[in-house]
Amino acid sequence: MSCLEVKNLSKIFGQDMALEQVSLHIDKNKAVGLLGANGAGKSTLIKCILGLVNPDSGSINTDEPPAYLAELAQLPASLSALDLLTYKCRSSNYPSSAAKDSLNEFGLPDKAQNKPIRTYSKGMRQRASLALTLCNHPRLILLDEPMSGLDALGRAETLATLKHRKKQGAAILMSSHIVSDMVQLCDRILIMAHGKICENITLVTHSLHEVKILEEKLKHWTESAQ
Amino acid sequence: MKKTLFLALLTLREIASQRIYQILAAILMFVPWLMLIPASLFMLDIGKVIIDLLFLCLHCWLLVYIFFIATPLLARDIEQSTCHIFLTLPMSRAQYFLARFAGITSGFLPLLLLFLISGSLAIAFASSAWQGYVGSNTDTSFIFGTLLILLPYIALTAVLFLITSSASGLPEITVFLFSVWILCWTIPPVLAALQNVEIQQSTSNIVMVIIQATNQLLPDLSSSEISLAMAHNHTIETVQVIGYCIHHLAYALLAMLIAILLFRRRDLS
Amino acid sequence: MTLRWTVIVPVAGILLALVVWGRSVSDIQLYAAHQEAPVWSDKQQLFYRAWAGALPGLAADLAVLNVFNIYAESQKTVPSSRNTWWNHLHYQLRVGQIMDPYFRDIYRLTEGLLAYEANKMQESVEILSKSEPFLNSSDPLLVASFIAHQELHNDELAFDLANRASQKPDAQPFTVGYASSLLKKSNGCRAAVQFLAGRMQTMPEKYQQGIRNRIKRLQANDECND
Repeated sequence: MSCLEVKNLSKIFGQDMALEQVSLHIDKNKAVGLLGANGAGKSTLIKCILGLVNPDSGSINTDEPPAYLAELAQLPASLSALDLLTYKCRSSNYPSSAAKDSLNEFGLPDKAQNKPIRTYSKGMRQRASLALTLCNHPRLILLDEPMSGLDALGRAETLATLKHRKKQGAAILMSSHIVSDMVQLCDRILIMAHGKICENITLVTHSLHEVKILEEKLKHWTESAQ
Repeated sequence: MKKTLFLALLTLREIASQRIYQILAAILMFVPWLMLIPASLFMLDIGKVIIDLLFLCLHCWLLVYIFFIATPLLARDIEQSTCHIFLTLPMSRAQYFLARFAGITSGFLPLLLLFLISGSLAIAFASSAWQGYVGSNTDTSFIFGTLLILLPYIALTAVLFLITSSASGLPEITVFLFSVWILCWTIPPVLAALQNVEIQQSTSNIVMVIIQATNQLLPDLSSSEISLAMAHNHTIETVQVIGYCIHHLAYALLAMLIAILLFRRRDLS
Repeated sequence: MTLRWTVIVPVAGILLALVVWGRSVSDIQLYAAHQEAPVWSDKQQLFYRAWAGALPGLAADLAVLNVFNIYAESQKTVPSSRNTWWNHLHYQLRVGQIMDPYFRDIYRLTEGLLAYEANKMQESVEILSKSEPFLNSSDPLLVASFIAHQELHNDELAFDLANRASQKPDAQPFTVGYASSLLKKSNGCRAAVQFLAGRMQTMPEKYQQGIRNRIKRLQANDECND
């Protein structure tokens, strides 16, 4: 059953073709990874799905509104993580207690949860962002560089959480530069260049060998893009 | 509706937890009392001078609030993609803008309350210290005038949203908003002076038309006559007050409507 | 929240109509219509109005503070070289009057300093006589009349001003009597001393010297000693 279906999506910024006839679908319990060089169109694709960027043509169908973790989004610095998550839970008719549960799940220390976000380290901010994205248990999750700023332990914990959410029925679309993380989580990898999907690779073994294959393909498409 | 209300409350909380807001609130508690010092230099109309100085404070803190609290908040939302957090709840862009507007506008209220209380107490003290030189209605005039002067700034806040709807970041928003404020500040009193026949005769028609047209497009900050009327305890006709309030609130809503229409079509990349 | 053009257009129309209506009825014009030809360049008046913006009253307050400063500075120079200061004094009083014609301190300083310290009688009469549309008090007109009679020896103007003063709501019997005495051209010296003594009582002590000197000069007059 498809949670997200994108058909023939195109977007032009001025003279630049950001997306050209992009199509993809993600089923329930599945994770799809987006790989590509900077400017390949990964973030634009995610923003089009979210409605942040208006596509010039094509269609996007989703079962329910997607949850989103932005690559460089800054959380409101004067609020605490708990304030922000409580707000999100209340807005999406979710019990407020889920806010604290989610922060604990992503390992944000108790004493930091009530402090202003401006006092957080980069890693803590990323944990708060992940907790914010996933606190209301969304069925469709779009992640743009979710591991940015996390230490090795944080990355492992986040991957475990995302795998768990996938098992619970969530569909995940993730964009990242860390191929090994994507291989651990994703069932399929889409390599993008020039606003197009150039490769659609189904992962079978999730092994180091597949990481190497993907890195070689990414290198090839990155060089061809230059 | 619930989402809009929650975001408005979150905005208010965000604003209230900023240090600059807390400092502003602290300053407003004692600044009206400091105004009594320069007012004591005057001879007959001490009450009027106190109101003039309090209105100066009012304009200053309203500007500080708009330029140093509201503008950076909105600019950060756009520049650093913080608005994505709210828009992907999901929440429509209209709801997001209205909620932010409601939150920012309601952020005026605690400061306003503090200012009114502190100002009224300072006037009460001045009335007892300088009997006969501070009119008995000075405190009422101060409260009434303060509420009226606030309205153009609500319209200016709506203009901030109008600018933000298509601006790229803080420098752009600040420059445009400052330009609008300068024009709003200077044009209405100049237009009032231009009603003088002799000045009209010495001013070219093109200049008059440009000034009039600009004035019609911008929010009217012409509270100068109201400031004078309140300072001298003059009465303003009810229909004028109603017209003044409706004019500014309608302008704010119209600006917000255009802002939402522009923001709705914008790519937030 | 879905915005439809069928809703937006009528709502925008109504709001626009309300803005136009609000502007037309709330056009509060307390004094602009009464403004006479400005003493200084009309362009400069526009400049003053522009920077004063929504706070013309404060501009008048600053003008008065400037007057205090000018007076203090003038006292540091010898009387013969104070003319430049007195020109500044006149200018500031005129600025103050144009910015806030209701401000009584302007008129009090005009009679106290501009007339009897700076000896600018003609200018004082001009400023004082312009208080008529704005103040309910007969004081400034009465003082202007007195100066016109006593210093300018223009009894026609003096009577006109006294007559206008006697029509003010707070006009005392003295005002009427004074106006009639002008008509008869009698008792000028004694009335002058009496009048000046009355004015001196309401003047702050530091500004009484000029009036005191004038009284002394009048009392030295033979007519007053009869």
